[in-house]
Amino acid sequence: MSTPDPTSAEAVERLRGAGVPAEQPAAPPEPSPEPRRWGQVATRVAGRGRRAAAGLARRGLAPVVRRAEARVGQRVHRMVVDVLDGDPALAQVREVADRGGLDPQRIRERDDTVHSAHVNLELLKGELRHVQSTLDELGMAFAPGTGLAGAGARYAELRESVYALERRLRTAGTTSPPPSSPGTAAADLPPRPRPADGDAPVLSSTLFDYVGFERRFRGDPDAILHTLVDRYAELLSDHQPVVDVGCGRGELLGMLAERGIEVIGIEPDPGMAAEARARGITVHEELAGDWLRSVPDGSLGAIITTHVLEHLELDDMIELLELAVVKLGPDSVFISETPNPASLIVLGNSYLLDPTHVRPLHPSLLAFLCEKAGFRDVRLRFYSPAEDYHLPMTELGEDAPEWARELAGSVNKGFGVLNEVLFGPQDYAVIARTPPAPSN
Amino acid sequence: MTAPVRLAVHIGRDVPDGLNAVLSALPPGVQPVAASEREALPEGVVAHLYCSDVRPRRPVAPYAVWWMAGEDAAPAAGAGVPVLADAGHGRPDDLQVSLRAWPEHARPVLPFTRAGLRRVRELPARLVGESRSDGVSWGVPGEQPAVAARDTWPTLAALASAVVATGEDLWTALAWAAPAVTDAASARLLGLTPGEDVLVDDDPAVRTRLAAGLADDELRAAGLARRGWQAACCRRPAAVAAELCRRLGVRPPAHSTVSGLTAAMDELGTPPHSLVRRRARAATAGLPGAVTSGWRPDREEHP
Amino acid sequence: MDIVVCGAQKPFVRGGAEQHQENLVAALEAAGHRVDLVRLPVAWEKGRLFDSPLAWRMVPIDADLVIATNFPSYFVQHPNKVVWLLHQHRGAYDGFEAGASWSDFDWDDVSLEEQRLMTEWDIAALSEAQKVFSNSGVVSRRLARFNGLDSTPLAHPPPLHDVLHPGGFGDYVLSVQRQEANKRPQLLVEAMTRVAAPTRAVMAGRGELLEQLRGQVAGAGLSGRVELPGFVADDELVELYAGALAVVYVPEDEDYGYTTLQAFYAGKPVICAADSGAVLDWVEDGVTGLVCDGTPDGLAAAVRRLAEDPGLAQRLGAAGRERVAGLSWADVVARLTAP
Repeated sequence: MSTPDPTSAEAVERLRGAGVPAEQPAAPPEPSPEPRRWGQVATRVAGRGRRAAAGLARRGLAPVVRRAEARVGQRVHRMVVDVLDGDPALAQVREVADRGGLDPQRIRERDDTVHSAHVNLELLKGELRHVQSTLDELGMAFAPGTGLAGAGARYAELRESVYALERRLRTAGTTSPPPSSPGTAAADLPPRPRPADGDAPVLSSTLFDYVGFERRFRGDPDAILHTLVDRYAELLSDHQPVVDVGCGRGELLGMLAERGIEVIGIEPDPGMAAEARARGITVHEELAGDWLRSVPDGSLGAIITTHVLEHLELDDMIELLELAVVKLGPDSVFISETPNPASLIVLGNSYLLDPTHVRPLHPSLLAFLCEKAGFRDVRLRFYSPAEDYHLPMTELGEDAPEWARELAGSVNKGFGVLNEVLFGPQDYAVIARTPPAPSN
Repeated sequence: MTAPVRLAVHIGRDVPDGLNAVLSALPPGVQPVAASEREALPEGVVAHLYCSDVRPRRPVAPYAVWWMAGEDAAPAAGAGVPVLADAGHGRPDDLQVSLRAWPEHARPVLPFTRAGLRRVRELPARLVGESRSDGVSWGVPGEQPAVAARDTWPTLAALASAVVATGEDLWTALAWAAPAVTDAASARLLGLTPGEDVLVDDDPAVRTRLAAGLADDELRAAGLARRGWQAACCRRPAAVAAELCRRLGVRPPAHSTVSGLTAAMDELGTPPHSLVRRRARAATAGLPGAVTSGWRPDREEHP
Repeated sequence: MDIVVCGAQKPFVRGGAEQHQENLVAALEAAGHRVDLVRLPVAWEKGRLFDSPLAWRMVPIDADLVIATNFPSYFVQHPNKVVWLLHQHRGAYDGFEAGASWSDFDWDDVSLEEQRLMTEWDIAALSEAQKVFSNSGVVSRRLARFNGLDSTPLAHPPPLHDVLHPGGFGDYVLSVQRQEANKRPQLLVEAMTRVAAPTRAVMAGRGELLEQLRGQVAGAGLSGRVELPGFVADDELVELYAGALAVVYVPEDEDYGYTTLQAFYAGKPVICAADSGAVLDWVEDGVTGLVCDGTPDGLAAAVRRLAEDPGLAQRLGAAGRERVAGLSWADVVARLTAP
């Protein structure tokens, strides 16, 4: 022991000897109560809004391992004292050890590690159970029949019926058309910012500035565009001509055209259609349904639509899909990319953000509708998981104890499932193909 | 082997560090086990600890509740349900857990013993030690105090008639059973009862005066010293764990890996190198197997 | 209720504590409890100081209630432990402080560490108890000063309380005690040299100083005025109490001392000294007795005052009898066994 006992004569000598001013910088700052009070407020605030999953994510596994180690030292100390006190049994064990058989110290350390690991395991189990029950409650709230598995679909249904009701109420109460806003291009145009099939107005608001909204929230248009080209250009080049339903300003078609692909745009908004035409693209300034009905059956190579279907009423969507099957040639492709509401973070954030979304379009529903409409081969692709939010995976080195690695393994598995449900892919695409031409 | 005695732990939201410390310090033979309302309890559960929004609906076994910082409402007290909390967060009767490290070597030295040690060390009979943010000082009340190095604080905590300290230094003083004067914030932080465990005033000059008064009042000083020390002791995780078991009526199995003599001496607070430990060792040395708790020489593993 | 009374005993020694434990057992039995008395030997010297406490720690006792009395019997472990403390290890506390010859504690590191550990052990063992009573204010005060522990003084009737009775105020003062150093019997002998005849003194009780005192009496020419009869049988003692002018009891820092209470039961005032300890719990100067300064002169003056004014002795004695009217074993038992 390097420091003398505080009551010893030596220590008192030190006290007396320090008649010189004490070394001021050595004085550690007094723990002030102030931060703690703020800390409490912060904890209270955080505690309310925090989800158990986030708590798990924040902590990860490392502190658990630390917790396991922290107590060991203290317990070993106690055990050693116990040994010193001469439990005769241990004296015997020690004797055996001296003859080279056992190391009681190591046995005790191992016992201690096991004990610590046990406590941690139980705590972790408790935490996971809590998360599980929270998610289960969530699932049950949405979809009593299926639980969390069916929650997304059920949520979609609910939203759909809520919106339908809302629209019905609004139309029932309105006798004269609302005054057109100054921001709208032409008063006699349907007041929707995006093209759509069918006759019903998609967006019930005439005041909403969709273009401004899109610019602010959808992200860097260039990056999005390049991603789309990367994903689909090659496939589309095999299936010409390519029709973009709701082509907007025609950015995608422009880039496809640059690759020598024959393209046609459909865009009912005159302003956007004009911009698209300025890129040298053929644009039909009308509703997709109307235009599709006007072209010969089997005359189109591919139809692509991005972030359009979720703005359509169900019947309009079904009609669009059925028309597509008829107007596409054999073995042609239909591509629709939309946000993925099965990822809860998308549903809770970006999906709800856009007021013109009619309903969350669950991948399974869209796939089902495509199949019903007559497509032969329907595939789903998922893109860009919300990795920033992912619960961390723990990787332990080979030197980590066996129990810790086992623990890490099972926690990682659990986190994987949670990541999928909570922070899964943000976008998905359905890629549907028409039946091949009958062979002669 | 007897069946293990189990404490069912119900967890929600976060696991407070204190909970882990308390569970790790449970007496040998008492196992914590995770439980939830949704599944059958493991065998051997004799009591429950709720650290969760979920509270027992039909309590069939004795239970305790962990009061989380941030929960506004105190858990329903009464009915003898023990409440655990972080130190400074609970009420006086709650089992408050402090994770502060126990100062090295610390042992209770009550005023009479302190006076004896001062006499032997030729220190003044009345001596007040004071720790402030700008340093440590000591001296006879009413005289100019001497400045000392900060690392001499444990010596003052162990020998002074009374001390004035806040924060961590107060904790050290309590661990040495020094009659202590502090400010309201420090007392709150450690969950101490003003006037019982420590004297409290927010004016430094008044604190110095109170300490001088304690140096002259052996009776008052002894009461403060004992209560302050016991208050600090009972916030240590092991003490909380033991008290929790006591209040819940959880009796660990009689056979444990720690011999009865050792347990008895530990409970009384015997230092590791104390003479009485050696005497106890010597007394049982001739009786191998007397306190083996079922250990069998043909088995490698300790039960 | 099944009650175990715990007490420590030094083999071959019988004194007030042993008697007290037996009286307690009898009182508990009278209240309808099943009672057993458990005793373990005790050693007082430093080297073996902690042996007996540790032994008590390991004694397995199955009972509904355990009542511990003297050091170190209160180290017994039981969930329902009540302590009625007769005394702690006096050598480690007040004996040490006073530098008493019977304490082997000294001002050195070893003694102080033993003393510190004793203090800590006492706090631990006594804090476990459901209730801590003491047999006197002095014991409570020591517990508060040395250990910072709270306790409630709980007095009990002295032996012979049921047969003691008032009587006339005769020409003698009575002392009833063992003739030993801490009782300071020589004080009364010296004082009597300063008290005029016909006032006499009767000093009942044996003890190691008895022969020396007899010599002192003869040397001072007090033969016939100071009697030292040695052992006195109970019935004779009762009559001695009944006929006395006053009772002199001037021990040094006494824990309890039955003499004071017995005097009160007999309606006699008690003359004590200002440093007589627990006697002062009962003797209030000019109310139930006289408190002198502990010198032969002071004691003689007090004796003279009562001899010259028997009316005062009567008033003080009546007040003393009033003071002990409420004492009863039934009350003691009720408080010790209260849930």
